[in-house]
Amino acid sequence: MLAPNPTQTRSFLTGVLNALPMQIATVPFGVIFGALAIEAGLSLTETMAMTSIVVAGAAQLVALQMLVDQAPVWLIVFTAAFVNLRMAIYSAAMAVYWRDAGTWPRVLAAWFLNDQSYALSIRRYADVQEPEQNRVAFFFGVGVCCLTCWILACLVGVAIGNRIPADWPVDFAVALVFVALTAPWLRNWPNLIVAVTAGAVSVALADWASGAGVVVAISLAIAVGMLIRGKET
Amino acid sequence: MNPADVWPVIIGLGIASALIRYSFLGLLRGRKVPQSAQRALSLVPVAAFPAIFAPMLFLDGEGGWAALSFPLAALAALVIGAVTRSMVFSLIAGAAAIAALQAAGL
Repeated sequence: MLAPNPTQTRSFLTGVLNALPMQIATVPFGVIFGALAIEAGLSLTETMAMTSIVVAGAAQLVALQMLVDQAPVWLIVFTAAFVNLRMAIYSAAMAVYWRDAGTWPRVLAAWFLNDQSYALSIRRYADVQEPEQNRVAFFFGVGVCCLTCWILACLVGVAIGNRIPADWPVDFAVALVFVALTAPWLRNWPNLIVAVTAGAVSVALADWASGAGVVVAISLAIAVGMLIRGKET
Repeated sequence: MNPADVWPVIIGLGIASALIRYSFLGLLRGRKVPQSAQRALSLVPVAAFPAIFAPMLFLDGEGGWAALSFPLAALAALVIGAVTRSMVFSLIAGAAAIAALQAAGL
């Protein structure tokens, strides 16, 4: 599948270099996940398997939290996958540019596609005219850089794991990760309303068994967002 | 935590995540996402993350309200993150705020 020509290699390396500065954002999340997973009682193998197989920080933290809360397995998978649903959009956006790509790059993309590889690739595709094989190579450059840093960061977190001082507000650290993921979105009223709705409904339904209220809150808030949007246009 | 649940979650979530990523690149190759579905999916993060963090900030897990320091520090992180559009600055602001608030005894 891969007999890369020199320009493809260059595109791949450009992808790696483009992704490097972005790792400032992923590394803290990886470290936090690794540390929390060990704290929560996952083994080294389980922690690294989850990080390497799922490769989605937010979904992993949701799953971890729900595991601690002893939610049923199906609900954990459903809720965490819900958080990952946004990646279906990424998949569709990439597919517009990947017309001739073979099966293998597409299958591998199921592992390497994330917020960063999507965002950087789409921007590059719009800005730079180059053959599709170079575009695919760029994507995998970004993806390999992200995944490597993600796994290494998680390992660092594992090493820190049990050494977190007992008086540190670990619960707050988990919440803070999600706050930080949300904050950059809250720059317009519709998004703000959706966020507040989701938070308020989720708090109101917190008594529901093992996190079922979260899924209801997400769905309701999305419905509200759709309604607001409907009035705008 | 029930240790027997861990591997089923890892495998199940791994498969689900891979399928979501593979969706339009593979399974639904070439299909277009309808506008409304695109809008709904783009709202997922804005809806999902607050639904997850709000109970952690406001509730103490035993039927009562949490201490004030959590929501206050989160507010700092939200404002800084929204203004700077940066997750990193948001994290730093939140961490600094919780440290200051707890040092102040809140």
